[in-house]
Amino acid sequence: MLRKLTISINGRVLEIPEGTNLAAVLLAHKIIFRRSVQGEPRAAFCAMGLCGECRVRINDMPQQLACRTECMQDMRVQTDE
Amino acid sequence: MRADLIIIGAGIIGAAIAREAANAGLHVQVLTQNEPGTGVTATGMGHIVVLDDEPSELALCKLSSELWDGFAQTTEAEYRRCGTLWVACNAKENALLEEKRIRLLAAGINATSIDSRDIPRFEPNLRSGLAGALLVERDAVVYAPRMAAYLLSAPCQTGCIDVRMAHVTGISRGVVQLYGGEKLVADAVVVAAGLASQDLLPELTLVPRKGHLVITDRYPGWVNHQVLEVGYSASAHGSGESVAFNIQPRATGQLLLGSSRQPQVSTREVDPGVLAKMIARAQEFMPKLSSLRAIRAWTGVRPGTPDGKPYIGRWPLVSNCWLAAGHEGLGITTALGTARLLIDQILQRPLSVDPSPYSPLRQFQAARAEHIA
Repeated sequence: MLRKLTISINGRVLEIPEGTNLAAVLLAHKIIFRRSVQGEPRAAFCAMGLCGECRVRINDMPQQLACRTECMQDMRVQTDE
Repeated sequence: MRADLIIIGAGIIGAAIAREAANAGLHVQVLTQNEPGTGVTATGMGHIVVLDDEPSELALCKLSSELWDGFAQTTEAEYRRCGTLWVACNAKENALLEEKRIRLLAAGINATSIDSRDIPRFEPNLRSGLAGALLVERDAVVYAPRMAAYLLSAPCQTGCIDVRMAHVTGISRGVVQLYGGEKLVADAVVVAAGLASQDLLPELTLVPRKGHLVITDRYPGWVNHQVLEVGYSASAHGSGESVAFNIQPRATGQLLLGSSRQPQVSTREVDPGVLAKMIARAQEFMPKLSSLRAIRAWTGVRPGTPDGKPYIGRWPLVSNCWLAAGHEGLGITTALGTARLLIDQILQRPLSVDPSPYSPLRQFQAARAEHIA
């Protein structure tokens, strides 16, 4: 049985299994990652760190790749800023 | 159906040649190993700039820049006329700017001298104390990979373009051999495969020149023009490793920062030492760059030639074979002019500019001169 940990996404606290990829969490909850200059919603596309479409703010660090980030206890994530 | 012309390569050069040939009524077959426009075409800045370091360069750039005007309203080109602001650090460089202004003016291209005091009105983030600047308003920025795909896929009024994914293994007298043994026949064959052209034409000598680029987060209005140091041309045409300040505002508000040159280097890894030098050079001109956030850095390997000019013309060692390669960092600017000049020659039309400085024959003449010396 996987241990659980909690993270917050846009202020909402979620309990997720340890080892979960952040982009997977955002996709599972249908959360918009970011927007294009024209305002179109964006989400993880390549999921391997190349396309840059999954960038979100993590623990106050902007422009981090969600697809290359494993969720950690108490991680704070802001999306679609 | 048999093609009139087979083009090997679907970068911006191959795509422009295909469109020019189709516009002349030809049935064109384009062979490419990857999706169009995704090779070195996708690694550069897409700056449409008239360089003037020698008359042939100026003539080709001017022709090409005017042909790009025809795509100013084409969505896929993402054409933006932001102009080029050349900047000088000292009196000597300022004199170079004045020479440039006069050469451009003689070619019918308007360029405006900007007094040192007025520079902040144009680019507030340039440091104070620069000697002067020169604004070339007609220069522009395009998005080359999308344009390459568009040139190959847009409907043809005359002629037609057929794009096929294929691996070419050899060329001889109008016959193109594919991996697996299939043979394609055409009246003429154009090799426009960048550095890979050497794999098809073993006697051809191209020089790889690696470059780095950095893109930042969105800072709308931070830079208004493509800004280059006047020493950029010396860096671009030099034979050693060099960096030069070159920054471009993207339509997204992001900034694209260059430039570096490493001759004979064709590895794709980001080189932290070169990247650091490049950024340090940019900060000498725009000190506040250090407060901006970079998102990504990447490299591209420019296909250069030993004398710095592209090869555009008949390849003498294979009959009915033509070459358009080695455009180095100026391939986006000169793509449309290259296509015009090559198809002029293939179809024996009146020539748009003098093709002799670009003849691939000069590679053999240079070798012979060396041998005699």
